[in-house]
Amino acid sequence: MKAFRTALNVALAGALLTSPAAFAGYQFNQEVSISDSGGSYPGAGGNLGFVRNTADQTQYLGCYTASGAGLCFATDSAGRSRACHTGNANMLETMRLLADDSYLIFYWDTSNNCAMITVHTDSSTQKK
Amino acid sequence: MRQVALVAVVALAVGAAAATIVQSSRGRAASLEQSRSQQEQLTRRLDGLERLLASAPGRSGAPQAAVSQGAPASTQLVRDSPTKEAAKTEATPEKRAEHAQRLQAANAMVDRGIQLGQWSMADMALLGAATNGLSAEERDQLMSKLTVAINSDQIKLDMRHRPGQ
Repeated sequence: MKAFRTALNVALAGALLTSPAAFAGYQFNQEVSISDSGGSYPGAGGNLGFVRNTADQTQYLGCYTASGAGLCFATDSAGRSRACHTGNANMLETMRLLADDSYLIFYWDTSNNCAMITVHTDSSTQKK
Repeated sequence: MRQVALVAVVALAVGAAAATIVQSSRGRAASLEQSRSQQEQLTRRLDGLERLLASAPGRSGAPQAAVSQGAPASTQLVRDSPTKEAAKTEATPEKRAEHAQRLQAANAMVDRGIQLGQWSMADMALLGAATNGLSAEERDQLMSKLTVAINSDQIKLDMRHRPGQ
C-alpha cells in the first residue's frame, strides 16, 4: 500500500512537472504581422513581449513620441517595415500606454497618418 | 345602524382608493410626457451633433474606433496651425531665419535617411530634437515624408542603433 502511494506521488509530481500547460491560462502570442491591403486600412501589429523573445533579430515594433508628434513602427521577420505618424493628442496618449506585454495594432491612411492605434494589455500576452 | 356605518366606511375607502388611482395615473402620464419631451430634446441634440460632424472640415472616413480616440491628425494640425503661423509672423527676422534653418536641417536629416535607405532610433531622437520649435504642420510634413519612405520600402528601420551608441 505504501509503495503504491509513493508510486502515485511520484507519478503525480512527474505529471505536474512535465505538463506546465496544466497551470497556464489563455495565451495569445503574435509575431509582427503586416497587412498592406487588409480591410479598409493597411495595418501592422504584434505582441511586444513575444516579438522581443522570438529567435530572429529582425522583427520588432513599437511607438516613438516626442514634441507633440508620434510614430508607430513595425518590422516583420522578412525585414519589411511599416509606420504611421500622428500629432493627435489622443493617439499620442494611446501610444504612451504601451507596456512590455502589450499587443499593439496600428492602421494608417493614404497619407500615412495613423488612422487608429490600439494597445491591448492583459494576462494573455507574454512579457519581455 | 352598524350596517349604515359600515357601508359609509366602505364607501369612503373606495372613494379614497379611486382618488389615489386617478392621481397616480395622472402622475404617470406627466412623467411619461416628461420622458417624451426629454427624448425629443435628445433627438434634436443628436441631429445637431450629426450635422456638425458632417460639416466638420478635414473629416475622413476613419473607422468608428479611431473617431473615439480622436480626430484624424490632420484636423488637429490644421487647428493648431494659425496660432503658430501668427507667432511666426510676429517673430524677428533673426528668429525667422533660425526657424527656417531648423526646418531645413530637419528636412536634410530625413532626406539623408532616405538617401541611405536606413533610419535608426538615434536618427529618430535627433529628428525629435531638430523638430522642437517647429510648427505642428511642419513636423507633420517631416513625419509624413519619413513614413512615406518607410511604407514604400525606401527606408529600412534599424532600431538597434540607439541614441548615444
